[in-house]
Amino acid sequence: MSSMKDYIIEQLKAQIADFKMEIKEQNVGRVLKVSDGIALISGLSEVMMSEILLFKSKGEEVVGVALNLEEEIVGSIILGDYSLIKEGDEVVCTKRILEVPVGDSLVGRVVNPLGEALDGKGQIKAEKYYPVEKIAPGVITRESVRQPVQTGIKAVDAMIPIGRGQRELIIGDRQLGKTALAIDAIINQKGQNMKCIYVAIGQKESKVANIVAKLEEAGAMAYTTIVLAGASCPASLLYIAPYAGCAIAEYFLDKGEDVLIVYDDLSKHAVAYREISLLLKRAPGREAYPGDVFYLHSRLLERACKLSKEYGGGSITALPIIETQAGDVSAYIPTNVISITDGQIYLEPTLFYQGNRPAVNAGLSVSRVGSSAQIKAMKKVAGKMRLEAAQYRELAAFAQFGSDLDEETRIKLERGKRLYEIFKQDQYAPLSVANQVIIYYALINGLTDNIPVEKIREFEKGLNNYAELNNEAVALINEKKDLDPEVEEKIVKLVNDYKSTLDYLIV
Amino acid sequence: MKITTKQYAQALFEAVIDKTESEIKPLIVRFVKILYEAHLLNKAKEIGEKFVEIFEKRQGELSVTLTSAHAFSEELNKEIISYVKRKSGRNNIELKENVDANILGGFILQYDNKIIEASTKKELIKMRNALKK
Repeated sequence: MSSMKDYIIEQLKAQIADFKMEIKEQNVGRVLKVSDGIALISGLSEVMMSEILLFKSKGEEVVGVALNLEEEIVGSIILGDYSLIKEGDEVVCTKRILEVPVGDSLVGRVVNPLGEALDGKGQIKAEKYYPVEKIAPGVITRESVRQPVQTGIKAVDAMIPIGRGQRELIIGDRQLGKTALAIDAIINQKGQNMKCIYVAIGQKESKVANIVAKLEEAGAMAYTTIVLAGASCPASLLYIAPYAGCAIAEYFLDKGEDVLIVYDDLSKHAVAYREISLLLKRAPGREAYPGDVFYLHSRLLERACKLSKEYGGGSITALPIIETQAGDVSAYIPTNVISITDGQIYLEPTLFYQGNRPAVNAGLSVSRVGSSAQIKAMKKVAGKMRLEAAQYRELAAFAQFGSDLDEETRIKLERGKRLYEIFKQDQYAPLSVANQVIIYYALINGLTDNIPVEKIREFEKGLNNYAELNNEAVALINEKKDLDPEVEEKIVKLVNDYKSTLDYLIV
Repeated sequence: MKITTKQYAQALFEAVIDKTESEIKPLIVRFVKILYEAHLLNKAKEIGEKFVEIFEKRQGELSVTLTSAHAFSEELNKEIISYVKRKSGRNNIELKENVDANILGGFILQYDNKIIEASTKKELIKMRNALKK
């Protein structure tokens, strides 16, 4: 017993001996005014832009960030409980730019934008700290996009392919499945060597809890981090959330890994920034947003990149989400973000209510760089398929006027109907690229022409199950990633074999 | 453009510098008149504070607050003054001494908007935090 006591005393002695007294000159200021999450401070003559400030009030310490550096006054946002801060409180500079803990220990966790755990699984031990704001990688370090991100969504992977390092906007009205699309993409990254980060900005916490549960169920939390700044968080936290998420992504990027980051959503982010800007008395511009909202999003999305081999070869793929009001894509924030990103996935209400889910509008959605990242097999089928889809859209509008159609037109129309059936996909049911190639191949080569339109989805489901049992074709596509005669033969055989077991074919 | 209180203080300083006392009096009266016309008499206190700041800066004056648990000796004070002189580049240091037993030991030195805290109390808190880890 006494040896235990001695041991503890020894330990304490050693620790106290190790303790170094350090006296530093600190830069201090005084709070002049606190209101709505921002504070005006006098003094702080040597403060840096976006430096962490410590508000000391009655034993409590609250963190803030300097944003406005003026001649006499420093304007700052408060990242904690601002009701603790009083006029006249002391503020100390920390000589540290705003930073977040990063590292492998964040994987599978739910954190706030300051890197504090929100999931009750204990404190996060950070290996490193990364600055929240960082200049994006330069031209020399970059490389063009060439590897695909498989979202597992048929309509997206075929028509609007996304490459690693791309920025693809998901845009649409509320309740059209924008988040669902992004979550499906995250779920499909299992085994694809991707880290995922989901940044929830101003989302209802119940919705985020659902998402976490769904990801856990799908086993996706094993490679996913969730950065949550909920609807009840102050605007200052919403404002830094996407940058913090990006900093966490950059840690993996620097390790040469591929990261998929979803910003859900940037309209709320812009609104939070507008709130801060107006409170800091920056001049309002269009829609009362400050002059630098474009820079707000462009500096964030520029950090998505594909690095060249010499710089590690990692990538950050960004999927920003924008919510439009009544389909108005020409509002300020949507046009800004459309122009920054490398393409957009446009979700349309009419399609959604017709039952075409995901409600991706194939005509208005584009991907500017992704097609070079598709695997060859997919590229081959997708080219023909896109043509088929475009012809169908044109003919469908035209065919409404008359019923007398020539044979060729009729076939095109019938095939188009089947194609739009194939585009339909359930939520949380991503499909592998090989299965996608098989079903699209079957369609463009007329193998599905004798299947009734209303049976297409059933047929597809059955075909996928059948392909799992007889996985020669799938394995071959995965191995070759191309469509040569051998593969084609295997696909045709697979489809015909399966069809021979069916009883609902049109004779 | 709005004229700031600092600019008023600066103007007043430039007007009165190197003037004799008899010259200054009418200047002050005029200055107050200007403030009255601009409806800025309520800012007079602020302008006064700024004026003192500018004056001290120009004259190389600096007021320093020293808080300690018990009064320091003359010698120690001199050393502190010479330290501040070196650090700030000002010549006329005015030392205000405060005695506060709450800080237990050591001292807290404040000047401009700098603070040097070497109090025993703070070090003990730091040590407690270090031991907690």
